[in-house]
This record gives sequence, structure tokens and C-alpha cells, in this order.
Amino acid sequence: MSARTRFDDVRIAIAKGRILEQVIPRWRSAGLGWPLAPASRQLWFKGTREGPGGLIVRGPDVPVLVARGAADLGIVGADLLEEQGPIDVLEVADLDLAICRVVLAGVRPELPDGPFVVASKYRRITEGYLARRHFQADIVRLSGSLELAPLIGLAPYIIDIVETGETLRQHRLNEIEIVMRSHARLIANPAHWRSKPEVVAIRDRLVHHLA
Amino acid sequence: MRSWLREESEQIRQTSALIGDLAGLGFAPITTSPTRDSEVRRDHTLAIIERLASWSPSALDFPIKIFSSGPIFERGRWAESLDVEVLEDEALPSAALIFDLLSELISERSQLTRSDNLVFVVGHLGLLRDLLGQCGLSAAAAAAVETAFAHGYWARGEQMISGADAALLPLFRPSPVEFAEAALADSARRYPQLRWEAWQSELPRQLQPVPSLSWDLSLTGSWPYYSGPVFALYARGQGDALLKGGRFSVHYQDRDWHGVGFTISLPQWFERR
Repeated sequence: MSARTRFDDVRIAIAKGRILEQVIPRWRSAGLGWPLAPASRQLWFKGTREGPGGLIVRGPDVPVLVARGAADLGIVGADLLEEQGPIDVLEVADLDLAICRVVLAGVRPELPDGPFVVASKYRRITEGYLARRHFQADIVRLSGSLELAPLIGLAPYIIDIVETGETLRQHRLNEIEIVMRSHARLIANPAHWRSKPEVVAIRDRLVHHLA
Repeated sequence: MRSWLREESEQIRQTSALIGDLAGLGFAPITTSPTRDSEVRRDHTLAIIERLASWSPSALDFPIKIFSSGPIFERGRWAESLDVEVLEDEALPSAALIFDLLSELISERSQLTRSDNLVFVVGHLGLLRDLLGQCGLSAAAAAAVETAFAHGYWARGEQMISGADAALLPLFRPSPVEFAEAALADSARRYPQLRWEAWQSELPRQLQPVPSLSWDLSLTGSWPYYSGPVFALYARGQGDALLKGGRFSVHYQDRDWHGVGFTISLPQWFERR
């Protein structure tokens, strides 16, 4: 790709929250020009000659938008990709951002003995983990605030994502075992990856931080 | 509602025209069921082979030029498609055969034009395996790279070969044919075991009237039965391939079935007309 490669025809879907916060400096250091003000609540910006357009969306929606071709690239946690299951996207880079882990945590700091109840927002990851470890468990599916589940007697264990573990400690929960490690992944729509050279060029800039 | 009905009618008309084109080129229709034994049809090729296998071997008149139309269940939804196959008896069929047919369909039959920014991307499983061997990977590691590419874990595949000759790495991403050909010819000089001359004849250098042709050895096709060249036709800006295919070998009912073929995704194909 030449130095005059234009990026105005490229769109990247970015997961809101922790990933977005850490992507912005990377985006800037890659010379792609982040156009939104720090406190902006705008969820979309248009691509320019110097930088791609952006869609700021909920994490689980990123793979869907990329697979359907609404975005050329997407930035999303490996945990959400794993939870999504097979989908027609290419994982083209580990961006080494938003490093966290999905863990089994509980009131007591030891592995369960015998059948148990576990609360999680990750149905697929939890089922895979239970099968790998040959655990017998009932899964309570929640969409958030998992730390409350042991406190209110709903489930003595949870499987949730943590970065520092501070939220678990504040709720007097113990991290027992790592289920999976998660970094932000760059994913691509296969058709756009193979038909738009500038999509590959953006991948290289985001990975190597080169403007 | 009228406009929706008009669009549906137009799609039926265009599908009929495409089927007429294939019949004119000597292809015969074969019907396959979209559901069977509680299973949905995910692929026409295996369904076609199952039907062909119901004839006694002596009744099969090779080469068999055949097509099947109807929906396949893909990525959680039904998609209308048309599958075109050429099956040979013993020898592996020539990839050139299908590339010529594609040229004809694209240029003369479907009126897809240069303005559509078509990109034809070709990979080759035999060349990929040869090249991974040259990268110094064991057979198991090479198989792991191939599996990573096949399942969309491109970065994992690239990482596994990252210790290889840096000159080879661009071949695992879409590269203009002139660049890829020069890189492979150069590699063949440095790695005499790379059977570049053997593979060269199976990779097209142009596909009229598609303006852009790329080689990408990370393109491995979505089915395990592919055995040689694999390809996809894209239109820039469209998030799905217009068609995908390759050469295959399938063992079914005590015999090997060899062929080349492709599946046209009809909604994408007609969107570009």
C-alpha cells in the first residue's frame, strides 16, 4: 500500500467500555486520527482520507456487524468472540489491549466439590469450562452484576470477566481458577479483507502502531 | 408489497436465465433435497454426490457437468444458491476448465461489468502444504496452520509461521498476482523442493473480465474436501462472496469422487447486476 492510501471507505466497529478506552490511544499512535472529543457520546464517525470511520457499539454486536459486512473490521474481546461461537469472520490480530481474564470465583476460595450452582453471563464459555473440568453444575444465566449472585444466595459461584480482581474483592469473593484469558482482537469481514487492500493496511498500522 | 413482489419476480427471472445459460453450456440439472433425515442442506456438492452414487458405476457417464439450485443453510440462515460441478472419473479435473467457465459466465452471461470492482482471489491447498514444509514446520504444525486458516484464525496461523523466511509471509495475505507470482518464483529458486512449476499451471494469471486478481494462500475454502485450487469472487464493498469454490476429492460409498465446482450466492450475484 502506498503512503497515499485512503481510508475513507473503511469502517471499524469498536466495543464500548474498556476496549474503546484503550483503543483510542492506539488509534492515535497509528496516525489514524481519532475525531471525537473525550466526553463525546457520539456513537458513529465518518471515515476520512487519513482514517477509517468508526461505529461504537455493544461488544456482542461487533462480530455480527463484521460478519454481515456492515463494518470491515471490528475490535472486540476474545471472551465475546468465544461466547459468540462460530461466525464468519477472520481474527486478524491480537491487539494486546484490554487484557483481562474470565474466572471462576466464589465465596469460598476452593474448587467446588460435587454438583453446584454457578451464575454467569457467558453461557457458552461456562458450558465449555464445565465440560472440560467434568463439573456437574446448574447455570443461572444473568446479564450483569454477577457479584450479587453469591451474596443473595442465588449461586455460590460465578464465572465472570475480571481485570484487576478489585470488584471481586469488594464483594468478598475469591478468584479460584482462570477459565480463559482475554485480549482485544481485531476481526475482519473475509470479503472486505480480501477485496479492499486498505483494510489489510489498517490492520498493520494498528498492530505495529506505525503512522 | 408490489415492489417486493416485483423484486422477487425479477430474481426468479434472473435465476431462470442463469440456469438457461448453464444448460446452453452443456450442464444438466439435478435436484437435491434441502432437508433430509432431520438434517438441513448446508452444501450442494455432497448432496449431488449422494444422488450420483445411487446409479451403478457403469451408468455414470464422465465427465459429468451438472448443477443444483435451491437454498442452503449457512451461518444460521437459508440462502438461495446455485451450485455448478464438473466431475471426472479417475484423474483430477483441470482447474482451467472451471476458470474458463467462470470467465464465460461473468463476462458474457451475467453482464457483471468492470465497474463492479470485482476481485477474484485464488488459494491453493497443495502449494500451501508445500510452502509450509519449506517453512520448516513439522507435518503436525503445518496441519495446525492450515486448520487455523480454515477456521478464520488468520493471526494464529500467521504467528505459527512467523519464524519462517520473511519473503514468504506476504503470500499468506491477499497479494496482486504479479507480486505473488514473483515471490513464489523467487522462493522456488531458494527452495528447490517447492514444486512451483507443478502448481503454476493451476493458478490463473487473469480471469477476464475481472480487473483484479489476487493470490492468497490463507484462503483454504470452507469444506474439508477441497484438495487443490480454491477461489472466491468478491465485489468491493459487498460483505459476502459472490461465489466460492474449488477442486475437491470426496470418498463416498467405496469410491472417490473428483471434481471442480463453485456455488453462486444468488442474492449477492444479482445485487451486482
